[in-house]
Order: sequence, then C-alpha cells, then structure tokens
Amino acid sequence: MNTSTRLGGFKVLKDVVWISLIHPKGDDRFPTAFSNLIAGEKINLPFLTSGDQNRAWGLNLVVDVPDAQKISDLIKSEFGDINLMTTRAAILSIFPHRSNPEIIGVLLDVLGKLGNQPIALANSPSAISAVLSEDVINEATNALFDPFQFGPYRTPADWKLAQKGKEKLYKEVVASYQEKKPKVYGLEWQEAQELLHVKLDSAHLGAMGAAFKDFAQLGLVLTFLISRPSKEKNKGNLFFCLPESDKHNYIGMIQKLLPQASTVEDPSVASFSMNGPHFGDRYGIIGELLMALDEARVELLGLSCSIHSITGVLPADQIHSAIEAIQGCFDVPSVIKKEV
Amino acid sequence: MAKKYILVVDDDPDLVETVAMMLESRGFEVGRAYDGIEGEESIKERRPDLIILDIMMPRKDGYVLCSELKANEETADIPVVLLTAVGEAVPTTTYTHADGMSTEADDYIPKPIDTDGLLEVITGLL
Repeated sequence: MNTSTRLGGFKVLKDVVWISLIHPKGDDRFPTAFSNLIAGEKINLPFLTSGDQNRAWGLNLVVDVPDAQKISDLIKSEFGDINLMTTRAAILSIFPHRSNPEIIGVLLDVLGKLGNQPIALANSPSAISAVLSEDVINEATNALFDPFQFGPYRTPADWKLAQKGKEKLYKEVVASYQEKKPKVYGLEWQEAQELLHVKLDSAHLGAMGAAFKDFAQLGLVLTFLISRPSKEKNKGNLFFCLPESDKHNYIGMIQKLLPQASTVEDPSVASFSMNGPHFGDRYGIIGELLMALDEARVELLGLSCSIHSITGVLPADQIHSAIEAIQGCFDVPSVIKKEV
Repeated sequence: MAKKYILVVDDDPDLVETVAMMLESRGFEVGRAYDGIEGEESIKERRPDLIILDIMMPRKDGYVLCSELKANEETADIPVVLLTAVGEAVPTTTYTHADGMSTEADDYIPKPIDTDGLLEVITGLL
C-alpha cells in the first residue's frame, strides 16, 4: 500500500492472560462444555476463538489476570490431560475493517516486520483483534501509525491521552448486564462462502498478509477470520472465509506466496454474526448460544467472540436451523441476510 | 441530489457498523465516531444532517454532547436521535428515556434497534 489507510480507531485491552488449549478427544460438545464451565464461574471472556480440525477442538481465550489461574485449574480438573499454554497478553483491536482483506493484510505485515507475530486473531463485524504478548503491545500500537491514519488521533500520544477512563467504564458496563433473555442488536448471515484453513509457520504470518492484500486486489470480502492453536511448536492455523468462486484459485494464490503452508478448502459454508451488549465478553452468552446450536444439531466449524459480537461458520445447509435456534434463546428483533 | 450525511456515535464499534451498513444500504452517507469527544470532533470536521448518539460512552456521554450541541447556535438545529439501552438490560444505569428527552434530543430509539422504526424516525427528522 502506497498511502496510509484511514481507519476509525483502535483499542487495547491490557492486563489479560491468553490461554490456548487443544482438546484432542473428538468430543463435538467440548466448546459447549468449556463455555458453560466458565459461565458457571461468572468469568468474562474478552476474546475467544474456537476451530475444529478433524474433530479436535483448539481454543484461544483471553481472561483478566485474576481469573487465569482459576481457569487453568478448572480446565485441568474437568478435562484432564489437555495441551494448555498461557502467557500475559494484550488485545489490540482496529476498526472498522469493512470486510476488506487489505486491513488484516497490512496489520499482519506491520506486526511481521516488527517480529511481533500475533498469538491469536479474530474478526468481528467491525474490528480485527490481535492478541499480542504484553511486552510488545506498545511497540505494536506505535507502529500502527505508519500504515494507518486514525481520524481523531494523529500520533500515539494523542491516542494514549484519549484512553483515560475508558477501561473503568467498560468494566462497569459489562458487569451491569443480567438479562433473562439476552437482547441481540443485530443478527446477520451470509451464504455462498468457502472456509479456508491454512496451517503455517508462525513466523510466516507476515507473508500471509500479502495473500490477504492479493484477495483485496480482487475485490473480495473477508467475512470470518480466526486463528487456532497448534500442537506443533511454532506452527499456527488460520481459518477464514471468502466468497465461493469458480473464478479464483484461493489455494493456488496462497501457495504461490507460502509454498510450505498447507491449505484446505471447505466449500459451501455459511456464517452468522450476532451483535449485542458486550457479547464479545459477557459470561454466559457464548455458552447459551452453543447449547442452542448443539440441541439443533448444528455443526459449528469455527467460532469467534470479540468486541461485541459472536461470529460462527457452519455448513451452508445448516444456516436456517442455526438462525432458528438463536431466535429461540435470544431476543432477536430482525434477521438480515447479507449478500456477499 | 446529494446523499444525506448521518453521523453514528457509539463506543461499540460493532453496533456502529451494524447501523452504518443498514443506513448505507438505504442510500445514506454515514460517518462513524466511537466516543463523545470523537463525535464532537467529527461534527466540527463535517456538519452532519443528523446524528445518532449513544448515551453511555467514555470521555463524554451522549447526554452531555447532545446538550452542548443544542446550546450552540451553529449546531442546535442538527437533529439528534439518542440510542438507549433500557429496561432490564441495564439495571444499574440511572439513564432513562425521560432523561434523554430532557436533554433536548429530537427523538430516541431503544436498543435493540428496530430498522423500520429507526428509518421512520430519521425520515421524520430530515
């Protein structure tokens, strides 16, 4: 990109711990059981991704520092021998991305050049969130001002000045919501998409940014993005959705830039996204959604929970069952079908 | 005819995007701001034809911004629609519909937002 791209803003959530876990036992209900376990302890999750790989679920989650040990202990006692990693982290979220793959491409490029690869990634309808190690977050936020312009903040100092008080209000507001039937502000869904799963060296995430920029050049929209932890050291998994296409060879485009990456394509998927008051982090919301989908026998292929939204990907022929299940347990005023 | 320009101000970027997409699909041009101060700066940069303003926001909340806009002769005539999360959703808040109306907002819309209701309010004010 030759000139900087104007975005609305970005936010950073500090004093959190990233936890990743892989449940290898082929239990389709694992994400539901895990979410309900956390909800039972009233622990908020500011970030969650969940990806299925041959029926082994991999989760990235972020919690407040005081909750981290409790969660680790709970996971071990409830699920036994499980591959678990934790580290002090921060969440960087930039917005709005307007489904343009260029934005994630540039972000991965910037972080790659710094040598600060994201530990986890997810998008919501407005934002791309990257979980970064706590000790690199300041360097990463400063570096954003090179490729991006942020309307109200011309420099990192402007941005820092504007953050005072935001964290306190955020926590007070999250704590205030306790509806019997949670209200959804917006439920959108899209069909005719392909789910791509790229397994790559973590050090090559920056190069993956170039692939996203290529997708942007073709005018494609990116509707879903998550990372999934890998059992293999220094490896990562990206799951993302692009429009179904006979014209474009997505795997070929990725392999041209990343010959060592392994890419799998799942055609004919659909996605849904539900936005509600602090849906990205309030305890109980994700558990309720997953239980409803389980009961409707919907097979989720990937899930993200960030900012104020939950986004899921599933086989295209199950989208109507999923929408019906969501309407059954949430207060949904309108359902919007988005055209890709 | 030039498109009407609506500014949406809310600290939930996902909600801003939901409302923006809804309005853009109906032919409006939409500006986005993510707290009261950003909203204020955006209004100085470009005068909107209408403002959709959340109430609970950091730095400057919707009530304060609305009152300031209405007290300023240069912005007093810009219609302001307040977004309110009411009832059981926000049991700890002291904000109410009555407060919203007392800040001289032109109208209010409860969350979750009913698309037809919002468009009706906007059309009535423009």
